[in-house]
Amino acid sequence: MSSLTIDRISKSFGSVQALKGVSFDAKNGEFVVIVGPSGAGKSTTLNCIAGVEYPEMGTILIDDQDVTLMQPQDRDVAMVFENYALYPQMKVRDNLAFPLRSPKYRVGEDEISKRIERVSGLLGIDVLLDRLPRQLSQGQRQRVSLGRALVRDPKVYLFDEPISHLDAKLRNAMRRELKRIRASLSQTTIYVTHDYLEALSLADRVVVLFKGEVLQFDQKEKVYNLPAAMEVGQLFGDPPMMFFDGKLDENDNFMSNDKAFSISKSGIYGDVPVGTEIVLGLRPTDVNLVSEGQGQVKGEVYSVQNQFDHQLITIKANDSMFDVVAAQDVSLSEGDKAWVSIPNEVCYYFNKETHKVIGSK
Amino acid sequence: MAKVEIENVHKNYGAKEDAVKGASFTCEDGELVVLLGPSGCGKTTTLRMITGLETITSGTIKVGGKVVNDLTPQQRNVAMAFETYALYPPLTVYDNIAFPLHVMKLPKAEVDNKVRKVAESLSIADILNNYPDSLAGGQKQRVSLARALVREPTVFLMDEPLSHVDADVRYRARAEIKHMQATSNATVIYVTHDQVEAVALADRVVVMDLGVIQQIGTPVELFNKPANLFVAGFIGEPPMNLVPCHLDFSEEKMHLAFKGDAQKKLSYMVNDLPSKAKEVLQKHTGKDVVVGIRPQKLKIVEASRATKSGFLPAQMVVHEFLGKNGIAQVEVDHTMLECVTPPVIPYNTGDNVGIIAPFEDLNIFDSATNQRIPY
Repeated sequence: MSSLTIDRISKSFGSVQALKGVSFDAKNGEFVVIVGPSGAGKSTTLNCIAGVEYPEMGTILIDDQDVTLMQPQDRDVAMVFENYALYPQMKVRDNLAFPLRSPKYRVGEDEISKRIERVSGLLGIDVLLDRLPRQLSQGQRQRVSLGRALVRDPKVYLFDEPISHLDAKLRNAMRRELKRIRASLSQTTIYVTHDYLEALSLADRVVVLFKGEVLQFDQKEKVYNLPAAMEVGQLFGDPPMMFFDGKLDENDNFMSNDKAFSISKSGIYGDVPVGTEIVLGLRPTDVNLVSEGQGQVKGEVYSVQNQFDHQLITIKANDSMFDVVAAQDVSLSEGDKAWVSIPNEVCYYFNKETHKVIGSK
Repeated sequence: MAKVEIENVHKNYGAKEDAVKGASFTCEDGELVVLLGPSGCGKTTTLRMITGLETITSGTIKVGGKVVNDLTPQQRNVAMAFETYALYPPLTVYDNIAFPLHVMKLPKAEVDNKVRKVAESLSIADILNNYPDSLAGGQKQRVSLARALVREPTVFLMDEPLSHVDADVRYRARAEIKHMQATSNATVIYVTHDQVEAVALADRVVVMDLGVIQQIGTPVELFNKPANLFVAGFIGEPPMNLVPCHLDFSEEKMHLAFKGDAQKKLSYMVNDLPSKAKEVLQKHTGKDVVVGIRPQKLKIVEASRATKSGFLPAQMVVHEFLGKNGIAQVEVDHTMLECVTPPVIPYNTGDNVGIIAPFEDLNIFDSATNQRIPY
């Protein structure tokens, strides 16, 4: 077991600065997920930890040893890629054994059998050991590829979007399986994904990366409940967070720029000058449909989308569109009048210029 | 717009098996019907036969009550929006939308009127002078939709039009399609492999697999009463919990005993069952069934809170925090079951808990036929 410290690393590719002073750490046995949209610098960060790339500035420590410029094979980390790249001519068993027979990490054949048994049982591929990769389904190949990393006993596991190319159904199933597997892994793990559900499900702590910068590094519950920036709010949630431009008046009331609605007593008075442009962030799961004349927003139903056990109702008020998650038995259709209530405690306020959260949240 | 009727349509590409095997369904005037299924299920072939891009091996297709089997795509006056936007790069958004109207040789003033109206309804009026290259994916999508809509076709056909739209704008794009359809009262037949998209948009969904229609129903019907095990497994996220069981009536109770371990059984007081259900299920006593329950309906309770009906002791395996909710995996012997829960729950890995499966939330399938037993 090992700890990992990433301290202000930067990396450029030509004129593009991929990483701008990225810092975070993982404690002994901790599972840290790096999440962000494509182009955020997630894979570059992981590659720097693996030693496939070298940062121009900053340091990387594994167990307090500076590994920043060390060769990949000397770092004792194991990487799982999105692309499974199994050896097609080798049976599953030999694919799994391969890293353990390499000169660097060689262990005895008895130990190899033991580890293959443990890992294949864990991944539910113990009945496939004598098959060739082409005889496996996509999900099974994915498991073998995971297994090939898990048979090793490295200081740090690195996962680079291991399940993101699977279709939604299989990806969700694999995520739940990884969650179970996670419980029996004790190694420190860094896991990269663009899917916030993987981050929330698997992580102890989450690094939100955006354009080469860390926007938030926190416990996963905090990242979801107290997003530090608009981009974090937008990334974590489905349906995504809605944003409304507006201003604060001297009585601490937020008024949307299109005059569609206002929120009284926002609670952020004093944190920003009166009249500053601010952005209100709301999650569709946090606002409610209410009866006629109630709530802050009056609008017209723009569209209704079914979502299995609930509905997503979009309501248009002036230029503002409100997505509201409603129960299946709510009966509204396009063109109906609707009223929306916005509880004060679900309002997130952001600085329009910096996108950072305003106030003590 | 017009009603579309598909009657016993077959398509054979020369292989032994038909690609579409006797499809029959109706899309009413002003209805949005989605053809949903995994790749190779025949949904796109069916759509192409409606368009006229593909011949029909046998059967009848009617648009507005008129048989169109032998009409060309142009004569059918159906509009198709494809997966790719295929906008003309040298033309402005305005000219892209106006293009089909110029082909129809409409007067300039009328063209202008129609283009502006459709652009307004899809919120692209402010980008009419832009060129396609300068647009975001979602905007291109709407321009492509506008170009199809402006012709005022009798039927609107869409083949996976949102598959290239980023996840975060997909909700908006779906809302636009729903809004457009509701306000223009268009008849729309829409193809997708994405069940989330299908239920979001559809008035009714036609679920296909291996060239055969598996079920036609509203999203709520598919979710609550799937016709067979294919639909049960295909629709819903997380997927429906499906447990092979042995059905048996004894001692005033109906028992659903898990196949792996007959000691584990869901039991319900016979007297509490609706009379129709009792009558139907009693005919299946002694038979093998598959019991299905949605993760959204299965409840986790404290181990001590055993109820008379539908209770089983279980063990907590893992719980995922997913923000707005969570998913728990619980184990009943060697059967893993999934439950949708609040984001945080008071149980930890290894805890003894109970699960409650209310009778009204069960779907029971006949193991011999894979069909749901209707009651």
